Amino acid sequence: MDTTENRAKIVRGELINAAVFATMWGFSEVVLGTILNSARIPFRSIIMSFIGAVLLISAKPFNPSRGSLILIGAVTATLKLFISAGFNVTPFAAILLESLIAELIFSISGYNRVSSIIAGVLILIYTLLHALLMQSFFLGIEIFRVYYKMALKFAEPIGLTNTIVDYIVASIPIIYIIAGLLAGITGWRLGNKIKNSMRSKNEN
Amino acid sequence: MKIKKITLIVVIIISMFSPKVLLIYAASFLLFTLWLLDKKVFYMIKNKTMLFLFGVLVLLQPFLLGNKDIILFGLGISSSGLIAGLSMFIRGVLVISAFQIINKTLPKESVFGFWKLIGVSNFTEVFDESKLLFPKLSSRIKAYTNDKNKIKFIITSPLTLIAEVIAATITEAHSKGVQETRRN
Repeated sequence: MDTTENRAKIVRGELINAAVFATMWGFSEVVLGTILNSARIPFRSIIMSFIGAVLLISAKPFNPSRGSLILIGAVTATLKLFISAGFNVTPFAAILLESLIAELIFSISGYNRVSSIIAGVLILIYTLLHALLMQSFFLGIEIFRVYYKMALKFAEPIGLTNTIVDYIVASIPIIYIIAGLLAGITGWRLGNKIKNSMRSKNEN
Repeated sequence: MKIKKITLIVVIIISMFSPKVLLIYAASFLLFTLWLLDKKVFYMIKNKTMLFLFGVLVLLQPFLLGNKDIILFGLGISSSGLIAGLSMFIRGVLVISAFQIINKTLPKESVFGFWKLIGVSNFTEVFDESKLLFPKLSSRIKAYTNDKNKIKFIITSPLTLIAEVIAATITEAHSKGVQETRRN
């Protein structure tokens, strides 16, 4: 087969793979995102970012070209935009930035277990920063002092000391980091499982 | 349209940077400006998030924070807490409403131009393919969740199930692609 023809076939194959991962991510954003939002589940951003990170990490071996994860993010963000009501800039920017973070990590350190974990952790840290930035942007930086003082006031009657409240507050970033770590490992494992599943399908 | 956008940006800047007391005085004027731009602005204010913010910042904060210098129905409340809470709530209402109006005025189609502008290549091809795949993936997931054996599988080994769904979708999309190439 001619090399140019072969190259075109690879590019076409990669575009199909990108479409599949973007559809999967878009589907979870639209369906699960809507359910979580209407149920008002706390820390729902962790769940959505976890899924996004897992899919981005597992997508990389099937989309090795530079910029492919940004393409997946762009398509996912557009799908969400067109299926959801109105033009909501915040989740649109979040999806795009998550894919940008994953792309940057894999461009710098290649695709391996360690870079997958780093990508997962950074995506989840970004999610926390995004939430903090949005809150301070919409309500002002003072909102955190209000939350903290309120937590102290509510902790007092149930016998929690200020130190325990401080530990609880400090544990929030740790929860995000652990979630990122798990997302990295899960994404890496999912990528391998997809490869195995495709191999067995081709053999059959 | 340009004047509308500039007005909204000015409202956001005033809400974010003006002093607390001044913002409380200017609130009615700024809200009236937003109402002139979008008559549905007061419906946005009535949503659950806004009511939650009102409860936390205006009703709860003065009782919990600051020196209790006002006695109301036998309860001590803080005037500085009330002013701070009220100004934060007004800022939230104005900034969130202004952003919602901006979001409404942006045409969704403008996003295609944005991808071109930042240099995302092959976007249209992948997006078109995704639009075709979306209902297929939806029905495939429905079929999995309706199957009793697969539901057990979702609980015991969700990762394997997701991998199966993705692998099947990729294989199907590729074989369809090959058929189309042959036809052409």
